[in-house]
Amino acid sequence: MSFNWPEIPFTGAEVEAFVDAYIELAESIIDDYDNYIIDPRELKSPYRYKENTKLFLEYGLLYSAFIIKQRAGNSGPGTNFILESSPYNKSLTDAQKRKIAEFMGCVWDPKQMKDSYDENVKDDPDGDLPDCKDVVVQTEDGANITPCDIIDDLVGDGEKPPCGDFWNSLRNFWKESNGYPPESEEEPSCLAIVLPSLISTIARAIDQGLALMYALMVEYLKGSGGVVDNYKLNLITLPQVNTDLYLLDRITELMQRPKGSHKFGGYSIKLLPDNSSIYGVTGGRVWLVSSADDIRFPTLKNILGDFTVVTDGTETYSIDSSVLGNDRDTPTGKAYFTSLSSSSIKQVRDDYDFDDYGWKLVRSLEGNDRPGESFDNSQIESGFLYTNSTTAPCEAVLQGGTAGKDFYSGTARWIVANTHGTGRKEQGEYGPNKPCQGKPFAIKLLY
Amino acid sequence: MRTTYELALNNIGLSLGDDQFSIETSNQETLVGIGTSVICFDIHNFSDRMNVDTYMSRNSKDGFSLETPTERILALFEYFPKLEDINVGLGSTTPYVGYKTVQSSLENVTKAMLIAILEENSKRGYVVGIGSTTLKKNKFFNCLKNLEYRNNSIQPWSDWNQTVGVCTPVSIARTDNIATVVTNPAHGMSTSYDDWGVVMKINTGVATSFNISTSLYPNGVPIKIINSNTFTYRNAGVNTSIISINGTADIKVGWGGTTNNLHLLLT
Repeated sequence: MSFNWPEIPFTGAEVEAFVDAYIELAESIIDDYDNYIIDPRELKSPYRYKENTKLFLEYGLLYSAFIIKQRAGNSGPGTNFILESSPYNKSLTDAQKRKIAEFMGCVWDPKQMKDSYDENVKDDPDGDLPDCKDVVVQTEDGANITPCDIIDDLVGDGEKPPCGDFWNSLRNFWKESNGYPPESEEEPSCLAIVLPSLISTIARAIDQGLALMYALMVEYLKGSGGVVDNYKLNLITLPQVNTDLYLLDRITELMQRPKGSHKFGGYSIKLLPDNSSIYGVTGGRVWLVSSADDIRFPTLKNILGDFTVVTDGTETYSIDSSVLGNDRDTPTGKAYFTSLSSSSIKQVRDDYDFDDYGWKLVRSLEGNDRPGESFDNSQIESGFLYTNSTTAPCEAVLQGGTAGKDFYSGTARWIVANTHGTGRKEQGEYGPNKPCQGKPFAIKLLY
Repeated sequence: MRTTYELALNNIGLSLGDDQFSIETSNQETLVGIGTSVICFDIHNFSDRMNVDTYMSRNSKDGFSLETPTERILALFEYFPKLEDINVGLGSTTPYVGYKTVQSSLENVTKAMLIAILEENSKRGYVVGIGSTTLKKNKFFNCLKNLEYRNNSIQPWSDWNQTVGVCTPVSIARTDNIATVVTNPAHGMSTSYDDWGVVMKINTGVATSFNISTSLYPNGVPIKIINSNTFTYRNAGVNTSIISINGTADIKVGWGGTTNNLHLLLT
């Protein structure tokens, strides 16, 4: 029986002498099995088959040689425990990498990943998120938690609106998570960032779209305002991947959805009469895109809602004359794409705001005052659910219908509303700028 | 061979992160980078730094982790499958042992080879012994035999668990399952080595909960030296502090020298 000895990356007279002795002894040990000198029944069960003992001998050589190198204390790789000096560089096969990923609770195979998400969407009538109890994350102390646990801590069983003790619940959650009360206890709105930030961290580990969805919400809650461009978008989501390009792919797909129950006469797009040169693109077209019926997970409606896309005009479209009335883009019917490449899309513009239970950004749509452009505080007003000076955030949310049980459509609503505060504010009444009170921001992505 | 077996045999564990030995692993905890590729830094060491065998295979145990029903059945019938059995995958009837069981077995063989090859008791040394191959094989197999077939008059069982010194603890405390022992006079253990261990033998009331069972840990448990009069070791129990105790602590030497941490860079 021949051995397959590993390469030993540690050198030195002591190591070489040990390795020679090791190999000689190992071969003699296996000979004892072959020649019935050792009775395997006397051994513990892992060593009764000579094939297993041979494997253990082969794989045991590297580490035992390393110990000899350590003890000998001479120079060279493997002699101390500074990371740069002693690693054993091991290249893994794809199968081994996949297995490590699976050990860490990840799904490696792209098809499995897709199937998993498809299954989640199929089982979720809202198509928003997988059931929170199905997403298990291990904390640093080894405990398994799910978003459900966090949500349950906040809102109990979800049957009652968490209006009364919402902030106390959030504070308690913060205290438990950190072991001390927050410095900004007198400013409860800042606490609103805690939970979404935590969920955002979890989301990053799950899906690129989820990471984007929660990152934008946290950006709103921080109250930074301003314009999010490609660089900042990638920065606040997953810096190592290009979220702007991910979004471009999603949008390209969404804009070509076949006719169905979409917002604009069954389509997800509306051709606007605007001249694209207003946006700095000559010879192009301006499209309003609705993500209200996006079925992919996570839905773009929770990321961008309705947004503006400027193309360079290289795309082609045809006219559906069966669409009538205001849904028509031209006198003869409704435009729909016959070909659209992502390279045709030059700009994606949106204002990230909450026109119902949060802050809304009002645009005049004249000159440069268009989605994606900078703005000032005087353009911000309360969402339409704040009807008077005493409307509480809780009331606004409840007027908007029953909150869902998932985080984004449920708990997130309470958080967004609470950063708004009580009472309707008209244009000019927002501000001054204050961290953590929530503020719309513009998104302007150039391609 | 199953990928999990291969990973286990390559010493990949991704689970060190041991605060108790933070000095040895400072800034070197397992890191995982998932970008365009998987990059892991892992650290391998013996799961039991003090004893001849692993806890899972100690005394009459065979070395199964017993974490799955299959392993319990295999342990009952003392059957360990061939790791290279090609009959794996969907529909396979080959029983499947876990990676912890495989790593435990590998650890025992590695230790057995070191004991067999090195001179004297093989602790701390690196010189190949001059004994015959037959004598070395006797030591090797003696490490791996069932309890009833062991020869306790030859190595490793004849001398491995020897006490190398005794110190006198004067107070002891337990916080978050870490026991801190203060000795007077100084314990005398050199910080040049990371292989010290103790068997606590305290006679005072509730302080006996700090004692170490020599049937479970015949060569003691590893310690971390804090200063010349203080050391710590893992000890599960309620937080408590006892300022006056009677008893001794047997000092032991396990696997080591300077350090046994093998760093694995997985790319």
